[in-house]
Amino acid sequence: MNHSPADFKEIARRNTSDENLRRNVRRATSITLHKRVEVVAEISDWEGLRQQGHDIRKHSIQRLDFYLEELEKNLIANGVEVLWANDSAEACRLVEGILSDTGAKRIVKSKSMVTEEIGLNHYLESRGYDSVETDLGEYIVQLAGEMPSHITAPALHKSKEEIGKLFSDKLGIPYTSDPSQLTAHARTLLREKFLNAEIGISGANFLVAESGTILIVENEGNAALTTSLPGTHIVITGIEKVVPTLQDASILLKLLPRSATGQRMTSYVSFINGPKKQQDLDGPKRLVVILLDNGRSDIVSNPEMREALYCIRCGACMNVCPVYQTVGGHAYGSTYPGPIGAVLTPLLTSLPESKDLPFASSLCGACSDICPVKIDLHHLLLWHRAKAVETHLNTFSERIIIQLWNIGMKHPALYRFGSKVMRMMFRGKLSVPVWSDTRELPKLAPKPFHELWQSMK
Amino acid sequence: MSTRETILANIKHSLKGLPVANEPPKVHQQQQSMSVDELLDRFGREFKKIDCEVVRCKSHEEAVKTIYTMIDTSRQQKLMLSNDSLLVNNSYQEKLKISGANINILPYHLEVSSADVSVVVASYSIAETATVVLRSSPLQFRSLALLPETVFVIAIESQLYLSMGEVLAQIKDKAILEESSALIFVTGSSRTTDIEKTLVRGVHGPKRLVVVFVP
Repeated sequence: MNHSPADFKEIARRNTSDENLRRNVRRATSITLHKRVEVVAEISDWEGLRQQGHDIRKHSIQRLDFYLEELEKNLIANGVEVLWANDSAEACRLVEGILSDTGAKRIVKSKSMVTEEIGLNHYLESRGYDSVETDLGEYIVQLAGEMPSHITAPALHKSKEEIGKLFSDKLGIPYTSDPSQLTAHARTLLREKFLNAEIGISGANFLVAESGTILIVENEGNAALTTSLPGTHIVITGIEKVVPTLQDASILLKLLPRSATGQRMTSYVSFINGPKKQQDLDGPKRLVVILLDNGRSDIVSNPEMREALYCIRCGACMNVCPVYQTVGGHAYGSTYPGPIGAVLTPLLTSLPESKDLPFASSLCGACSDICPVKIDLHHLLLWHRAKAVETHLNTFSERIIIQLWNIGMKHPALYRFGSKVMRMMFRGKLSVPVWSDTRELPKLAPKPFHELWQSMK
Repeated sequence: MSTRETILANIKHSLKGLPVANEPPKVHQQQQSMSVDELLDRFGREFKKIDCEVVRCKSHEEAVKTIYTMIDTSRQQKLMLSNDSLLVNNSYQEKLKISGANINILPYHLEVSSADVSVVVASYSIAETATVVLRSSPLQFRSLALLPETVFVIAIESQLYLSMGEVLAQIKDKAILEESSALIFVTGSSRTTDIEKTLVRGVHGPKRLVVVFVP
């Protein structure tokens, strides 16, 4: 990519003028939202289901230590190796350790936001490993040298013509913009990678504590192949993915596909219980789960922000967010874009590094309304904003203006005087830095309301 | 302190004193008593919504004939069948071999990537989402249902349930997870909408999935 969250304003300004990008993003998000409406309407008590999902995630996080220990015990009983990583660097080192144990170089990966978060692809490439993304959208952005712009639709920002040109330039195939033909090319190329891979790396959607089961949700079949064909399978997952029981998982599996892609169920849900049994023909001989913290236990320690960990990574909040639809995912400069990204990124990195993200919101609350596990996203953004102000991350001029406003609100006479001065300065035409560059603000009325009111009395 | 101990200690400290129930909240699953015909009807309707094919057969002989008629036998087709006892005991392999010309039955082997068609058996199926559950075992390896372009899934009517919750309760009661390294819940064919939200089937897995119900 690549930008950082600190570049948000600059990139957002640029992307707002990029009509192609806005058209691509708007088209993709509106198609998904439309499909979602249909499948949600089929559930007689969608709100009840959301509440169940919320309660399951809340309980899972409130007893996170207990369920992590139970998960670990059951994973080990199933023959899975369990490793723990404090941060990105440790997780990448653990992966490299497994690769050098096996002497393996050929790696296939299925879509995993956690591996983006820890920069795994870049780490492996810099050490000479051949690691290829197998999800079509991830494969496209990997070819393009970009980050995913959406958590379930990584190449949503690209048109078919742009993808056609990318395939032609990078793969040397004749140009086509036909999605079927482009997909067929990817199938042929990636099939060879699957069959020759030594290591498969995946994330996990859920980890079931009671049985030590790893759940992976997908449509393409690439995750099922990534976790079945290579001799070693490595799962890298955030610690917050644990859920207590299989029945809890079934509720979340009702919410996730409907919210993410507008489907009743995705084409494949793998319930992985361990490495292959002795007589099995396929499946990995070795299965390793890396449980990643990377700031999540610090979020647990914050009672106001803890519910950010309830997220099941559906991406619905992005689809419905007017800011995301306008600026696209890359503007956020982080692994997680959109409203959940604006909440998580300051927590996983730091607020000073990403201070513009919580302000990239109209606080319309559409994200909270659509969230399948009822995370109060827009209020979490407000919490970040309060912290930004407390720690003086806002500009000096903003602090002065707010102080003046505060004084004016408490002293009506001063307010009226200030109002007269403003009218003389702007002569009826309001101008606000940045805002007035792209919009016409309403004209000031000849008389303020309180004068009109007094004259009517 | 190890990383594990540090992470767990951090979490325990953060959650200390938080009043929370020991057990997870009770999951309310929709309970509906439906006949086999109603369940099959529901499965069929859901499957049609995702443009996949489902057939109900009265016998295994009829199932074999159905598979044969649904394959494009105008050209040579290589088939691989799972070694599941349902297929073996009902002689699917032998019957398909003699069904007609252009059917080449491959031996059950990991080299399935050369097969055009595979035939596998579902352990369970789910009506409300038109899902079949495939269990990994020495008799039915995982990629058998993932690599060929066309996959036929033989599903038993009596193992059809309404919801995933019911199937998972069955799986848990029968300790199936302990016997299998993986279960794959399959709902239709492999698909993607990653290019301008245009649906394309068969991106990595099968382009065509047919479910054949037998008594």
